Amino acid sequence: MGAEAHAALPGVRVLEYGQLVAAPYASKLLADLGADVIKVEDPDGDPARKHGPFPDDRPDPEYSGLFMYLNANKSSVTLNMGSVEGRRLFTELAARSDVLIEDTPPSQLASWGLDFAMLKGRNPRLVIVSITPFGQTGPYAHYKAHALTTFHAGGEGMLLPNGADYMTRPPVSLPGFAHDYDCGLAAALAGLAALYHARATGHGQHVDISKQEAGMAFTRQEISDFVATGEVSNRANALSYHRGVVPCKDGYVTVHFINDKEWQVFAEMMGNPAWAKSDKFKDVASRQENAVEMMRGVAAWTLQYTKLDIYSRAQAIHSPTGIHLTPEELLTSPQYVARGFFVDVTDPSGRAWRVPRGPCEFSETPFAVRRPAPRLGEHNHEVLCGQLGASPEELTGLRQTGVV
Amino acid sequence: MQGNRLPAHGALSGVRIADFTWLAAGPYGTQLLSFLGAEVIRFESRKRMDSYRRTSTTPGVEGRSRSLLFNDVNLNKMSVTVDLSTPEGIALALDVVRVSDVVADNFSPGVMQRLGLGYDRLRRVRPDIIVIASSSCGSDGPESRSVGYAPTFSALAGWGHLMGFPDMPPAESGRNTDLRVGAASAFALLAALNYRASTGRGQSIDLSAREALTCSIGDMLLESQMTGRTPMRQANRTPGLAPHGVYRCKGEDAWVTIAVGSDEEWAALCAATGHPDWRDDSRFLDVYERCRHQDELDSLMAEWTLPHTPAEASDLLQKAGVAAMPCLSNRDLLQDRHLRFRGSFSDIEHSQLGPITVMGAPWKFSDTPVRTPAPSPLVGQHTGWALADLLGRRPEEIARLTEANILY
Repeated sequence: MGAEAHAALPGVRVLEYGQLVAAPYASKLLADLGADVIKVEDPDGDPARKHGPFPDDRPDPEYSGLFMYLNANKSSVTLNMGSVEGRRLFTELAARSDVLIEDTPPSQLASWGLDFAMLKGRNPRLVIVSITPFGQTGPYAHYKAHALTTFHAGGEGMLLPNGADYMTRPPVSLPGFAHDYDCGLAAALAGLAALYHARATGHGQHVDISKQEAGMAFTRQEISDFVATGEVSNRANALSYHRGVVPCKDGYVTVHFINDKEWQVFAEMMGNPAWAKSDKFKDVASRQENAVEMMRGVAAWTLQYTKLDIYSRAQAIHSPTGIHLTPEELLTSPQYVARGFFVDVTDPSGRAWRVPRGPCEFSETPFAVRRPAPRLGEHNHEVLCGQLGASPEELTGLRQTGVV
Repeated sequence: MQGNRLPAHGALSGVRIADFTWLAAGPYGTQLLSFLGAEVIRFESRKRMDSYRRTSTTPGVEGRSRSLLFNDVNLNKMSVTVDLSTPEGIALALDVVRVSDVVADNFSPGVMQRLGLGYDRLRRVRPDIIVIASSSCGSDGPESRSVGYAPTFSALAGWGHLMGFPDMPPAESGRNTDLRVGAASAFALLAALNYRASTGRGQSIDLSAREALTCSIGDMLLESQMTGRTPMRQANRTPGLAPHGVYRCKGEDAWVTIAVGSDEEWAALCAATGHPDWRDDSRFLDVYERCRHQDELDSLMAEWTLPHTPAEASDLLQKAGVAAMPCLSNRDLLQDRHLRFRGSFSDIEHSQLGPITVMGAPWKFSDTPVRTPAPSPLVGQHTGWALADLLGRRPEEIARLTEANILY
């Protein structure tokens, strides 16, 4: 355990039965903090293996970037949950775990004879975290869903693009899989709380994560707005005089003039042009009234400069100006590089790829990539024979009958 | 109005947080832990009031204890007013830290140190203390002093470039993203609490809002490395699913999402929409073809959804086994029968705001249910409790500290 001496979750055993992003991200966060995560995959593997991106666009289930990012540090065991023996082995694994993170539809586990009461009966300390589109209960519990539908059912979509100056086009989604990552974080957070309780009391429990609610959580302030005003929030009424996206020489800049000082500082940066000193922009109310003209003037100035130029000049005088960074720019961001934000995951050929280390820096228990993502079923022998005591002969039998 | 502590509760019963956070991201992080049962003591001062206290969204309602926005991210907490610009105020804060498990702040980097509340000082007072400092870019590095709001740091985190319409400038996210950062800090604190439970050791946590967000696009950073292509914003599309979009419906700003993964779902959609002919259309024969002809597919979908309300369209499709849901607004969420059934909102009584509805916590625990929301504290409502009951100060000393504007 030497390497794990400074892991936050040494010795914590996590069993994951999850696909794509949300559940795998939840257990990734725990794995990167030192938990031992066994990932149970169906015999044809987590669909993330097929998703890519792939190095040089060559699809290969052992080289999916999405899979490698989310599953480094884990062990992979393949089990056919459609088989009695597969489910028995799963039960054995759950009996030896502290946390089970799973994303099957409500009542799926029960239909396999793996209901929560039975699992808890076998292992009273077990924390079960279930991630489903709409939760375990309620009228929508069995609705068909994809991430797109649960995200927009959570309310944040109606606010995006935030501050749009049009209502003609539809609400949009978060970047890529961000909604699923949000759900994974909610599940990891709740799982850690239940684990904390189980450490103190010896009692596990079942945690119900609804993806709709995990996304909706970020709109609680709009709920309070509605309670206050009775007005429906939308992407255009978040439009305001004091902010906007403007083009520059090589991309886009985001500017904010929430108060007079922020406007004055920005005007000074532009060299105090005559137009900016006009009464049309003298205070918050007049800037709101003449926002279109103001932003046109700002853009005429920003278009002369590059993003980095604008960012460094603005921040030097404490103007809350940001720039829209592309993935390439993030990878070489001086701030990220200085903070060691990127770490390597290696693919089976030994090639290293840069990924985020994790959402924060711990002084004592850093996130760490200790080993690459597993090949499909790479740990069948180690887990089924080494931990559950199956003989090599039995494992061969399980393989021949399609259980693993 | 003097306040008392809430009864012990939940998974984090016995955990106490000395909370120096303000605005949205920091307070939301500690509020999440309060839902789980942590006792949160919020440090405030009339000398430097949380701007959220001043943001009253209720027309005609003024006053520092009357902000619904403040209430929304400070439920279940206690408020202690202490002037932290005085040595005696700092001494009182340290006395609270001595009997706390966690200290949280989201000031600009360096502020806690200047106040005399840096990690080293806190650790001398309480060796196993867990400290989290949340900021826009983190506590060190060339941009640690960078200033900005949620749209600023989400742009710098790479979200804008990947969000919105490909033919439009990057989209911005709003204050919702502050709360996302708060969720990351609550997660980090729980990891540290578990570590402390097994080792007895505390630690400090440095959370950068930018970094927390960039974690959620890690796979897109790999796409750029692996393929040499720059991933681009896709509005509502995703590889391998079609149709996959948000379509206009009957009604004002009314939209429905439809997402089709498999050929079976596609067949079900064709049947449910009364267009069996689409199944035989060579443009839509399989996922590959549907993705290739997505613009045409989207026009057909929008033609079908337009005469329906979002609920009609999604009900029809759900009955056939197709993933569809209305895009819900804040008003829709409050009225949604599923969310009502699940008890996602609570009606509470706030002594200044009256009866109001607030959102609860985003998880359900079978054995340690999350706390039913209790209203946010009035300014300094728990100063008396903290001084007398928690710190055991005598009435005459409390009177002196009040007189001297230390408890202010």
